Amino acid sequence: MREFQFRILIILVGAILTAASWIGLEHPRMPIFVTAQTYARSTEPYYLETSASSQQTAKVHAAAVHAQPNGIAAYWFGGSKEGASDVAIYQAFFRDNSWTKSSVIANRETLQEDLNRYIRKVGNPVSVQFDDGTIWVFFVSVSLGGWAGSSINLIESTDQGKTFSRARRLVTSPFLNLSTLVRNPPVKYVDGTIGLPVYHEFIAKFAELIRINRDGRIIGKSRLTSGSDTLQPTIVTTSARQAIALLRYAGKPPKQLMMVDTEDGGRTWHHPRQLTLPNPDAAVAAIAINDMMLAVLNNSSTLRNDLSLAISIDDNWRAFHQLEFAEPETLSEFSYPAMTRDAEGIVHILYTWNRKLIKHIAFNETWMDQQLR
Amino acid sequence: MIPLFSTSLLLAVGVLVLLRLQQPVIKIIGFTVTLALCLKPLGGLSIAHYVSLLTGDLSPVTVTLLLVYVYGQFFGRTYSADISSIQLLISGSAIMLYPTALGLSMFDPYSHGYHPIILSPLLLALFCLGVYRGWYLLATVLAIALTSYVLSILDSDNLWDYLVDPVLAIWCISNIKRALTTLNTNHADEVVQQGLLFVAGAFLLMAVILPIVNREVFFYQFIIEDSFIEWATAIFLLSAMIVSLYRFIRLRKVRPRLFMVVTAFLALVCFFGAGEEISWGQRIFDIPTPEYFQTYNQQGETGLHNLAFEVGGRHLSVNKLVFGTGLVLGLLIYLFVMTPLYRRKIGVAHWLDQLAVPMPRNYHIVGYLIVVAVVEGLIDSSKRGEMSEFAGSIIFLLNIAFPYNPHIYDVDRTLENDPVNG
Repeated sequence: MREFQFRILIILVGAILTAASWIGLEHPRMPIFVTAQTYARSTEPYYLETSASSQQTAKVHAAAVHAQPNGIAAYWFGGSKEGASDVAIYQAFFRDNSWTKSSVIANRETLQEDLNRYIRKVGNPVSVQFDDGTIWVFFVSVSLGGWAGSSINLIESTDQGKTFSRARRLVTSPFLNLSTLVRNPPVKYVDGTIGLPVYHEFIAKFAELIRINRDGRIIGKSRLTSGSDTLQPTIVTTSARQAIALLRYAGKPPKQLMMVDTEDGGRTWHHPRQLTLPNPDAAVAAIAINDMMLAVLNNSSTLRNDLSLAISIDDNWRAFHQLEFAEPETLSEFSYPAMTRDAEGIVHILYTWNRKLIKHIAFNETWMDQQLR
Repeated sequence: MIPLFSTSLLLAVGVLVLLRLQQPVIKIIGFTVTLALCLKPLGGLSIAHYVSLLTGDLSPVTVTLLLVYVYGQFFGRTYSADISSIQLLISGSAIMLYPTALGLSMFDPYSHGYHPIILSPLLLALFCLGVYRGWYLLATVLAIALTSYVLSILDSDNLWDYLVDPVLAIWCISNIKRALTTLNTNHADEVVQQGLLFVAGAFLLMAVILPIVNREVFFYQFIIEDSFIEWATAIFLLSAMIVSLYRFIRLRKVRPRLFMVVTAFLALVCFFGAGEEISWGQRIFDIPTPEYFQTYNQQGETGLHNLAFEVGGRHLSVNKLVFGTGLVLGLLIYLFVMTPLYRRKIGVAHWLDQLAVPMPRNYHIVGYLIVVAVVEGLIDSSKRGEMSEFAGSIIFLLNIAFPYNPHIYDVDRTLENDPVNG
């Protein structure tokens, strides 16, 4: 009988302690998106072409961009070649119509020291800036194998990018934390948390959304797609609860862009459907503009030799303007676009130009309307 | 530092396994030397750094089991009594977790580890079961895992990573055959009943706490359509259906027709309840709601229980009528009229046995009453009905599967006063 009483006592203590942990648990708020703001419209068309990187490294790739009150900030990875151990994450700012000199904010060595783990290479940065000016940069790192063995790291700057915190490793998979990558920027929720679109590459390719609180801790995960054909989701919010995600398609022909949508703030996603736009297994970027959606993509089902703007009006997608084109024989590659709108409503697009430059194109809505006509 | 220590401990235990037949002195030397060697940096990184690339961060469960093994080696005591329950649980988790983590389907149990309002009550139920059955090793590893998660001693924000890791999974799965054979099945009935009761209790506790701490989460995550709560309710009802069907098949030649009709009806009721609970699976298959249900179903989904009609200018809800008033009235008659009569009047007992009515045991009666009292009295939310369905379906399943009158389902026994047999 003593034994029985002892067991009941332990059960009660266990239940009380566990219940106490539930009270202390961080409970995420209902996911409500911060929706796109509206901008004053200028009557003069504006268009600019420049370059964010200045050939400090032989190769550059995978740019990320976010708007700031006084311009934009860009991040990319550069080094002697993709995946080399000298690859670092670079940062540069666009202020008063010109780019600052880029600087290294993280590399293999700094990450290895921060995490106290062996790191082979780093890649794909993604950035976000909060209203208080804090910048977060996510980037992938590989310890074992190729890019499919990636995991995601987070560094934070509270001084406009001058210095960054120690990296924190995000654990997103139970299998040795292998194979979660980032490519496109997060969506913001009204409670201050963000939704980071990620994708898996090991064995199967599929997309997920990770909810992260302001402490950099993961508080939820939902699946956008399953199977083995879709990756690099880019999310466009259309209302407080609705959003769509465009996905790079890596499956069998017809090679077309994929799309999924949510009606509950990204908690659950409907079955994917194929858009009429082609996709040569390449990254795409998209943002909301008024009631429309604007995308930058490779308008080809085979090659990355054409970079175009596409627009969705009432759920009908069409490409309308070619930003870059080169004959297939030139083996040119215009890829990995990133896009944002700055405080004045100007659209900025950054993309990899033949892996040599991070090119930058900016335009306003009036210019865009001219191209649409 | 913790992951590196864990990896070194794993390697040192590996050495200890090789030296297990040696003198204690040799074992101590082998163990400590390996531990020191693994942690010693060689040009910045140690052996443990490289090995941990292959092992990942070991879970606190693995570390606890390793320490228990080390203790056993040096102090000659083993705690293997309930190791098979751990091996089976970990194997089951791993088989569910790893394939789904590769994106096979939209089903993603790993995501439940980030905000563990489902996983944590399940673990609490297992912990309670472990303590109650005297499986102290199981209870200990669960307590350590939960505590480490709360203290977040690993990089991971996911509770699963504090329970399972690939190394542990491989070890458990490779021992699964032995675990199954050493598993004591003598008390399987008891274990199932106690386990389900602890699950009901743990989730009721969560359902009481959650609306107080955060109403929003209770609504949009805990008891939402297609949540674990709904699916589990459906699974409990389907299990009750399977029990009834099994009895139907086994008894179809030895029981009178009325007995079989009632048993089949019970199975049908369970099937209907399970189907309604998950709207007949419409959301898994992404089937749009037929026009009829869009018009008459209050939640715009396929199913009868939320239908509402206007009859003679009055609003009639099927839910309130049949599943509210009807069910409560039925339960009251069952518990407080039929049950006392069954136990006191032998004639009534024979009659109900002939009718194949499973009668409740005392703990079922108490269970039903606690569910009603807790849900109606303590849960402050308009959606609390989902919780009574969940906990109620557990008691219902136990009521069907382990009734007060199990002899009526015994193939080798005839029903007394059986008109067919005598």
